[in-house]
Amino acid sequence: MTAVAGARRGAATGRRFGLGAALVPCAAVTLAFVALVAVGPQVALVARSIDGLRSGRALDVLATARTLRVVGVTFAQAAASAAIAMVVGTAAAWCHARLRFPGRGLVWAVSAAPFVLPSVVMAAGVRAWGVEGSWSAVVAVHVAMNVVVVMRTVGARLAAVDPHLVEAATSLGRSSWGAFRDVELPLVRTAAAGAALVVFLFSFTSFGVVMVLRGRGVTTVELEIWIESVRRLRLDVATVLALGQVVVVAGVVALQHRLSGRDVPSGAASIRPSGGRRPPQGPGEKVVVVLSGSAVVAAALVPLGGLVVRSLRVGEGWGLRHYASLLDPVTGTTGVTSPLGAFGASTRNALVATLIAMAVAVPASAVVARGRRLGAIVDQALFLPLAMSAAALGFGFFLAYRHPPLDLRSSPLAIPLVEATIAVPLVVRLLVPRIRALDPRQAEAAAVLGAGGWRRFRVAVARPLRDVVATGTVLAFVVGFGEFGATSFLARSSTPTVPQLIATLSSRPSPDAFGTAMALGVVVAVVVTGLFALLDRREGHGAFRF
Amino acid sequence: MKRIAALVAVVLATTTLVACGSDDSPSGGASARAGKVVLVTYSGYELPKDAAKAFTEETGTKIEVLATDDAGAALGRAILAAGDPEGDLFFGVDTTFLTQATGSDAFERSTPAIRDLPEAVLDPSGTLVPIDESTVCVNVDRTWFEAKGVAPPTTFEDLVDPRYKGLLVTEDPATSSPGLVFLAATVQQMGDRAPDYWARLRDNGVEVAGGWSDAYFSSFTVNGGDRPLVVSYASSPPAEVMGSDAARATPKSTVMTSTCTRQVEFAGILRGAKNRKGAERLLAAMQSEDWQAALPASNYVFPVRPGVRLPEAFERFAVRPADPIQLDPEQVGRHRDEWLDRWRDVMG
Repeated sequence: MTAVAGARRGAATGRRFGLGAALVPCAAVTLAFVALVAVGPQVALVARSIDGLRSGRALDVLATARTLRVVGVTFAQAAASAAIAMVVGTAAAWCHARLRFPGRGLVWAVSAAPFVLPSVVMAAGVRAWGVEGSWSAVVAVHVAMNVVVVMRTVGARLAAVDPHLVEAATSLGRSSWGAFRDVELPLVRTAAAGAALVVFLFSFTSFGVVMVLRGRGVTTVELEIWIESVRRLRLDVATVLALGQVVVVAGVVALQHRLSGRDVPSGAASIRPSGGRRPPQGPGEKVVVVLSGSAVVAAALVPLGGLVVRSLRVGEGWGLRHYASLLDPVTGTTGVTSPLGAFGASTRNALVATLIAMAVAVPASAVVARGRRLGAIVDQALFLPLAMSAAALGFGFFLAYRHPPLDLRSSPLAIPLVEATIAVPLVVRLLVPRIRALDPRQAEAAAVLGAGGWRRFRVAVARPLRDVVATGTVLAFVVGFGEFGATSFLARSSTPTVPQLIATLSSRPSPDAFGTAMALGVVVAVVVTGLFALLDRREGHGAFRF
Repeated sequence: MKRIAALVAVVLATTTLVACGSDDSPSGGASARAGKVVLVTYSGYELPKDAAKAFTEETGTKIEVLATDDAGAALGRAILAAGDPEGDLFFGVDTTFLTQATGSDAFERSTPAIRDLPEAVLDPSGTLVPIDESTVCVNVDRTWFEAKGVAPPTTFEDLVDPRYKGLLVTEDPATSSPGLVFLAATVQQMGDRAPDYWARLRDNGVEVAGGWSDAYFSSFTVNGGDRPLVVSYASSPPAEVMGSDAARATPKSTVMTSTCTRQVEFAGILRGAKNRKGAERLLAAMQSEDWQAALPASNYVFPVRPGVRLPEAFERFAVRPADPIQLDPEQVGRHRDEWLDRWRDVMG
């Protein structure tokens, strides 16, 4: 596609991998995508509320102590979520990298489940245990959902640490904590901080979790944007808040960009730890293993368990009836589809989203990996839509694209487009280290042997990247499948996606509909986690590192 | 090579799926063909299946539903698109949003087809047409109070009585429709003293959930939670025993009639509708005897049409006071933001 065509042109002019001349068109594809999904909607929002903004009402409404407090607590919960995720995730990553203990594989395997599950499903699972909404519930779920980001990022970095360094330190009499502090920590510090910033970002802009798990007085900037735009219909106020959020997010993204990959030596991603793993020694290590391991496992199993319990409760007793009704057609806005039929819609959307995501992510990764200034711009630009307010994005999308030729208001492409925006940055972060690790000598060797541009590209670029591109494709699919936040603001005709149907079913007054929603949540959890486990076997650390 | 083959297969399959998909997912209001009327609404709304089918058979017009997750979001989009609407007919403006809808230029004026409607359910501006009523009440888990040997509360004042401390869950009025109706009801009942009442609710341990389904399905004792009082609907008790395989034969819950507040849902023709005739026909159908009679089963609401036969569960278990608290849409529209701010100041 674009990448291939661009790369071919690049190969003719030749620069290392023949990607040189392709960088500009590749960057153009990416930036056009960001303009379409993020900048356009944001500009439309500002344009639409310009009268309200001129009147100064928004500032009057917002210039209160309350707004300051909302901003303050949003920062505080995001910082707390990030800090806790950083500590737990780093500990879990270290245990995984260095130690051998029962359940080691399980901890790693389940860690991604909370991240890929729709946030409404996670939150409903926690609520099912009788947990009332509160700040601590919100932070706990933010940590649970995002700890995998730290684990994978730090894990990848730890894998690249020469085990002999650690062995040398311990043989010189350092305790394992001492060796970690003096040898490994300095090497993984930046990676851990960068990952923590990503967690901060996700927690700062999280919507579904806050909506379901807040109790009295719990609110965030993101939720205020939703309330102002959706419930109070004060678009100007929402726009000011949304712009403020974009500024914060842009700042954090810039900071994260400086940290990410800074201390990763070229080719690090392909290094596997050569040192053997040992059983935990001493009470300290055992405590760390048990605490971090059980935290990660609980993060996945508590919400899932809640869902299962809730889905099995039938009236006063227990049973599988809600699972049976997954096959019944649901009438009304949900068209004529049965809940399981919604899997068809979700699959279709996610497949289209995957195509879009890969068409953007592959050229974007090439730019990020090879271009200096351009790479930095593209890398940061891709993060913006991910962290924009979902409500603002929804209304902005609606306002921006309601006239032909770009009438996307209720186009079947709208949902896949939005799903793709969430997947692209994840795929890019997966591909970039592999592109950086490509060996230029292969291209040179091919050239010496008289291979043409296309063949050189195939030998030196396409073949080594084949697997990771396949993995990225699956990752994009899984993320698209589970996306709920932004797509819930797009209108839909006929068939809803699975996460949308879960939200719809649980808003109906019938206990049966709620039970069915929970059963559907369990099925999504199983499917998504299963897909992800497959992906994980192939890629180890790759997915979810930032 | 195998993997590449697999990728190619995925791409081909996708293209096919997309192609198939576009056959049955028409592109919304943008290209409205004759023979199709687009109903814009919120996603919790369920079209009464048989009545909708009968409409299509009689008129040859297909009903396409375009839904957004929240009723407020759906209305917000309709107002933003005023004059160039996404569809033809809008359903789902409730009493608390009424003046915002009628004050915009998104709707054409329509007159109710049902005669003898009580004034209490009409749109004073004469723009929108009432379709159904959903009375918001504090619901009581009868069985919980029986087991404890405590008399359930009966008045607003009881809810702030220390005897009932920590028993009530309501919804945040900023994010939830029944929560907002409850808030407006307290103002309607207590006037200027309402904020003081909210403070007493807070001191008496009220839980404020984000949305109705959290409050009702997670916190209410009937559904496994730990609060026996919840702000919900008059139709919630019959909902317990409805459906093909109801949980129980007799509802565990009932309502505190003194708190019951009328909430009406309206429909209106969108200005600039491409299929205006279809919109008129659908609006008329929604007021017809058959459609109105199907509403309790499909949406757990009461028809506005007088004399419509209700399902047995509604007849037996839906308690509706003869004179529920009546909100003034004008007053709610004018003071909504102010009340919300006060409520949030009080609740912290």
